[in-house]
Amino acid sequence: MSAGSSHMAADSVADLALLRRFEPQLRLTRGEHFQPMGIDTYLGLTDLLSGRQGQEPEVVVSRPEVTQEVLAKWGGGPADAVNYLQFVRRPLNALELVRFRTQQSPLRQFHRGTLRLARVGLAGRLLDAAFALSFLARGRVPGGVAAAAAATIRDTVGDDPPVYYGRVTRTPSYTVLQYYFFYAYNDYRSHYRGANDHEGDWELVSLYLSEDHDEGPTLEWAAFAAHDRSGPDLRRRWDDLELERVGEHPILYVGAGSHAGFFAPGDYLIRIELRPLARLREQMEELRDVWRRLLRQRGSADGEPEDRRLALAFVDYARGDGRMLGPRTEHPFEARLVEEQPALLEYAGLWGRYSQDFLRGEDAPTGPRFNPDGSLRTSWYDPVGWAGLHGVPPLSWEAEMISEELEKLVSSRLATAEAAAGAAAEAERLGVRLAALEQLPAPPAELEGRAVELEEATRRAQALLREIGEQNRLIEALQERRTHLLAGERKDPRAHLSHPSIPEREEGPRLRRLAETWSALSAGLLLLGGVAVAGVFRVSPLPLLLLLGGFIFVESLFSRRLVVFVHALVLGLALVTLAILVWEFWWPIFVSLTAALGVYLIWSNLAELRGR
Amino acid sequence: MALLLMVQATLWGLAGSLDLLEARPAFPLAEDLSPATLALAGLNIVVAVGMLLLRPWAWLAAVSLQGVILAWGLLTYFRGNPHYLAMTVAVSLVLYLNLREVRRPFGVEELHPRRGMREREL
Repeated sequence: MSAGSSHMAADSVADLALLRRFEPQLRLTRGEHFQPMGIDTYLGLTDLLSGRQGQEPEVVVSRPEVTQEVLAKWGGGPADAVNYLQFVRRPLNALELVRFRTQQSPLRQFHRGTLRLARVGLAGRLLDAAFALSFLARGRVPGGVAAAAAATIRDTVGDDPPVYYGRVTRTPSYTVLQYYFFYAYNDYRSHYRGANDHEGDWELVSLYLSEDHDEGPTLEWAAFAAHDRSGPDLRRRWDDLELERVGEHPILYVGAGSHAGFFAPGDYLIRIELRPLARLREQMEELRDVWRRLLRQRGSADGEPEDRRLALAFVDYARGDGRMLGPRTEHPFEARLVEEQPALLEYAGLWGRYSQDFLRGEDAPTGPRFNPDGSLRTSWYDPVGWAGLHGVPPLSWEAEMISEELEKLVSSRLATAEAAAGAAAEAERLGVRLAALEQLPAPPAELEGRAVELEEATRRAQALLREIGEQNRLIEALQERRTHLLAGERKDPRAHLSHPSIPEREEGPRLRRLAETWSALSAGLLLLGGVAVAGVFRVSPLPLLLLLGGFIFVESLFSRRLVVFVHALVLGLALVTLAILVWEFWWPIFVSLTAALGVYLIWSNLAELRGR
Repeated sequence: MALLLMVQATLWGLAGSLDLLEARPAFPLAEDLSPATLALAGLNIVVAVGMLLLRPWAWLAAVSLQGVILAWGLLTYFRGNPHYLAMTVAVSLVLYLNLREVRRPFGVEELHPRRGMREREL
């Protein structure tokens, strides 16, 4: 063994030890079909295919010949083709599906709680119906694939230990531990009424350590991947109460089917806002702003929780009441290093079925390194930025960094003060000259140029003095921050969160059973009622409005929002009435306002005249 | 606010009384409903007293009352028999009731309960 390779081997051992020391504990939801598994086992159950748009895909390598080495060699495959693995060859038929669900599936142990549709409003249900219809036009994973995948994994993987793929990245500020978990299938839609299904599912946990010289590496932040999101909302600070842990191991609650990561157990309402609706909402917000600020009014939507707004809504069940995996459990992880997995480093294709879904939700994902377009993932090349940690130094560094910054600022302020004094002296010198020239009986032609010079010198001096003021303020702020840090005080651990995932309240809708039945029927009934009303009254808007109002009223009863409903209704009536009054009396209103303005102007000007 | 409601109650009471006394031409507001206008006047007084005493229910009751008047106003308008004075007063009252300063004493600045994260012990 050469010196270089032995050094690399020593690094790998150290990395693996570090990964082992902080590895997370996973808590699944009861009824979950899949758990993190080794990719070698999975690859042995797949075919490698390559296909072009509108053409029959070609099987490049058949099972069980697909290995990591094969994938690494294949790399990105032909540039104009989509390269993918296919796990399930034959979906279960209807009979097999019934047998699986009634006799074999762990899903029998899963209790969905309050019906998803009862957790969202009427508009959300209508959107949901439109979303379901969208599958007619989109590519999708066929029915029976999820159950076939679950059955295959149960038969082949059995009680094999769960696996993660670890990667250690050292940046100037943090040592980042990334734990990649691979699930054979995402059955979120099929089994949990979620957004999508797809073969192959990669999930990520990132831990951010600071290197303290005295104490060694200490965990500062933990970030859990959820639904392709990125940014500060994914991470929690080590001292945040929401981040549960056993020893040095953070606990991750895994969403059933979706395998998204959450910090606290519970049911999470996941909102997916469609782009046109987001634009509409922004415009409504601007109108509301005028309503609130200019007219000092309150709106019915003020303070409304975001999950009530117009968006597709799904529930992520991350209850943690199922199997526990990882440290201090009966199912410890088998740890493998990413750098030793050629397929993870080289294969840029999909890790499962290609469904030709133009929204991509039903297509399998690419691996940890690549985006579907072949570019590198942010979480791969910039794990610090992925969790929004640029600009957030480790705690152990911050006081020292502030001291360095203060040193620089103080010397910079000294230089600025000297420059300001020089500029002020220059302005005075120019002022003296100008005053002398002005008193001459025949001022020279250059006088105007001198005045401009003086003005510029004055402006320069003012700018430098303003800079000194700002530097002083910054120095004071840094000194205060350093004092707090040295006293052991830290900022609120949740200050960086803008839209954190929060579990649903346990309190369900009023009269739950009835509310669930209503939620299941209401969207369809509204459409049928609309058709019936239109058939009887043709294009008369009033009966349609009454029908809609009736539905919203019933909705508000179930969701304990009757007051909001009454308020919104009365505000709506007032605005319509106001519009009618303006329409009917626009001329008297215009004349009155103009007359009032005239009277006010006269009164105001006379008051000024009297006060002279 | 209570004073405004009292004024409104007086208007409705007057309208109802005039209607009962068959003095419709003198006060066109009472053409459609006479017992109802008297009832509205009575309700107005109750709500006005509630507002004077800063009862939490009074704000919602006042808003609801104006809602009834507005709905009636719109109905009569679309039937070709508008009561612009009643409509104007009701619109003004709704906008006034909806001001932050008016809502605050009744504890209804925000109608939606805030969702907070459950505190859990580790």
